[in-house]
Amino acid sequence: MVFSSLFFLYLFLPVLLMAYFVFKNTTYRNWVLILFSFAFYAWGEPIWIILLLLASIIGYVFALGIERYRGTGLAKLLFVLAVSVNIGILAFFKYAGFLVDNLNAVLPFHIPHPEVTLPIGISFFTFEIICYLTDVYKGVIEAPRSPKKLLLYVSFFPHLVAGPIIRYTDIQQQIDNPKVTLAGFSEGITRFMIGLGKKVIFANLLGESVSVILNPSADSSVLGIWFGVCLFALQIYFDFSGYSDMAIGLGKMFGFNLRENFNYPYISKNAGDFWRRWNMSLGGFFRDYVYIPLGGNRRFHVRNLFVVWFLTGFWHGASWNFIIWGLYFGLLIYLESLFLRKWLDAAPKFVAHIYMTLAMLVGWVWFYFTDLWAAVKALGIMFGASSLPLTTVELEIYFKENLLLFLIAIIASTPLAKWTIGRICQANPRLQTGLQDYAVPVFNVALLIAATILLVGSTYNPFLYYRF
Amino acid sequence: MKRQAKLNIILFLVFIFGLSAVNLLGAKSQTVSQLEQRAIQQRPAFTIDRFFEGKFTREYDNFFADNFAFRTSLVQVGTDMKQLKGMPVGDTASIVVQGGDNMAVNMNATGEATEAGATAASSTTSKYLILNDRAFTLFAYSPSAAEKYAEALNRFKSSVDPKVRVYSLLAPTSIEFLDNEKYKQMSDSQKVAFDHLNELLDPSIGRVDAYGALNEHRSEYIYFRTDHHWTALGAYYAYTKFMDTIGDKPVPLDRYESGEIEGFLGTAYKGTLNVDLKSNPDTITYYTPFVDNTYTMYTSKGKAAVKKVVDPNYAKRGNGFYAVFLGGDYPWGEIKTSNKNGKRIAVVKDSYANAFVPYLLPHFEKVYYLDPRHMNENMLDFVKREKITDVLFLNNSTVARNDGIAKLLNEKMDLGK
Repeated sequence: MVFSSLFFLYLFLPVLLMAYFVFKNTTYRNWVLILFSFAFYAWGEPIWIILLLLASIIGYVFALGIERYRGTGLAKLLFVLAVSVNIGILAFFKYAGFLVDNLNAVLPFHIPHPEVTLPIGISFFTFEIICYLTDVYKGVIEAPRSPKKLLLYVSFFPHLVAGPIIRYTDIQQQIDNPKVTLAGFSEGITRFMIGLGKKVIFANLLGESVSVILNPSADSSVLGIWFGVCLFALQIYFDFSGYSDMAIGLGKMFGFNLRENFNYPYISKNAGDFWRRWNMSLGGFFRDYVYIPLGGNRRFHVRNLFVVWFLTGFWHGASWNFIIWGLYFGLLIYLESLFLRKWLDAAPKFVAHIYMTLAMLVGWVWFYFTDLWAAVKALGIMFGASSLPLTTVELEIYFKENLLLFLIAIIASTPLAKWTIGRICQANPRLQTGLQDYAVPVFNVALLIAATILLVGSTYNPFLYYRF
Repeated sequence: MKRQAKLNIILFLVFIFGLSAVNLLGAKSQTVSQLEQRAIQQRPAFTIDRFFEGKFTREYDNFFADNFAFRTSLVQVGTDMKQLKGMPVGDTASIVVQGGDNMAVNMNATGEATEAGATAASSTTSKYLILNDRAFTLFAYSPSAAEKYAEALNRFKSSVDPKVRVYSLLAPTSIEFLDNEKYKQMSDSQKVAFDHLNELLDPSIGRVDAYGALNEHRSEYIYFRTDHHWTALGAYYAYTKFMDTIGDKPVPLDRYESGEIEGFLGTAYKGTLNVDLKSNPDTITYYTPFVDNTYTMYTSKGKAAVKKVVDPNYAKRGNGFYAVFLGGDYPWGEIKTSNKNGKRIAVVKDSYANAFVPYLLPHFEKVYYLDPRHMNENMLDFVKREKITDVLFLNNSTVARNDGIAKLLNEKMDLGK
């Protein structure tokens, strides 16, 4: 199940709201959340609900063990064991195929390719359990006695399948003491609507064009590939950040403050800046739980960078193009720390923006094409190393057909709208209340209506049988 | 702050609960979507097995989406809304790639990139070019597809009795005759494709130059605007060339009584829901056969039904008006005429032949048609059994675009072996 679906909006959510607000007792409310979260997951992965349960139980039991034997070697053993099991689960379900394929390329004998399907959300909840175990081991938190607290932390449906990656400390207070207020609920609605709009209006529509324009069998052109990659950059931003917005909004509605995940990444001035604005919860996880423990930039700087960026890329997908994408950013960050930052800071601001935009777009080429050869080909076309024309008639049509959406998407990916409205409100406080009290609610409903219409529209599936 | 919170919450709850209630209480009586020509997903049965296989939840999602309140109107509104993403400058040209998704869910990359590089333009999608008020399907030439098709026809010729005469008619699609060079070059040349294909055919197979006839009459209403088929007029011109090839005289068109059906919105409209197409529907002109005939069509289960070769009543049933010709696409059909000249023709066809077959009635004792997509008898056995004297392969340029038909033809020659 995804948030941007008719089933979630018009069946799951209303039933959940009714079940939650029927009770006044926090304990009952938390159990409602747990049950609905498991139902949410089971709807998409009926069998792997067992995995979610198993991972949570392992986390719970081992954390209590670590707590009990704190200070002894047994605690360390339990910690290492628990983390390994979690990584093992992730490695098996996500990376077994990749490992086998690569081994087969070098080994003299052939290992059969394992047919494993990837349970959704596994990359998120295994990381969160590892966070939790680490925090317990380090003494940052006490392992809670009650299993329901861990269950709620791991399974809480807003962040379950697509993040943000939250830490137990983020919501510890709120599990014990959720403050559901009218203001909070309303803020949650607004945040959710923004996310819904980002996903359904921007990401989905942009995505339709991306798959057509970047199709390898299409009549490509130099500008065509550039346009396609730009559209993809916008699509993936609105898709991922929209989903995070919806998660944060839903969390807020129930009194939980999930950590932010995006901060206008496309206005970054350098790669380091970019990764402090893109998928912030993942970057934060790798920084706090891998990079710094390994020595950060004090000891073995290059090795640590390599490990972290390899893992960042690899986390996004079990394929070499993702690893290359991660290492590519690692390399940029390293070069920036050596000399590039100094140059960029000394140059006029627009130079940094151009550098970052180009760097980001090239990065997305590696991200989009799972086939390395296709990625290299696309880059070749983009930088003039092919015999393709600059533009084609088909591209003209696609460009005109998407121009307005494209421009609005670019503007919406920057804080321009927020700043403008902020300035206007500063100058005119009464307008601010007017906007807040009336414009925002109406805008939210407009987004909901538009999203609903588009979602219904995308169910249109005519029988194209006549193609013979 | 309180006021904003209250209004926001009230609007949200009213809308979410309101629409959910309307949805819940709405009648789920529809079984078929006329617009999409497919069955509407019914409420799936719940069993533990089906749940754990994921079938139940997937079907339920489809059921929920298919039966959503106001779906048919919202679908049209949604398509119109999507037009807003562009800027209308210059020609009103647009490209629509149709490949629908029933679940209204786009499981896109949200950091877990699974199918980030997947393509939507796979073989199950169609690309339409809509120029002002006309729709065209773009043609992309695949030499290997053309080769496979020629091979299949050659194999057929060498497998049947040498006395059976075999012909090939390739029908071009409308984009070939678009006078706007700028947009025409988006599509490959069908002339080149057909020439190449014809070269590969066995010399004993008669080639019908339908292309030439259609080219001559390109400024007439020979193709529909909102549908991918040719009109009955276009089929007639192709028929005249077929007569040339077999050495017979074509019956003049004015010998036929004609009728017109307005408001035809065809396959291209259904695939795109484009508003310009909707406001400029086609007119089907049909020509009623004058030769006494009995037309029996056979379903895939072997049931026979007697129908009219050209039946304007089909236009009223909302099936898709093109079914006026031959009643639609069936595995095979037989038309017995009052001619007693011993000539029996079998047309191995795609739906382009539907508008063409009626013109054959004055020339043959029996006219059969075979649809390689559906027939479940071996084609070669059929020809022998019914003592066919002439076989015409009539297909549109799709056979030079993908090898689906070639594969089917081979299958139908292998059946039962």
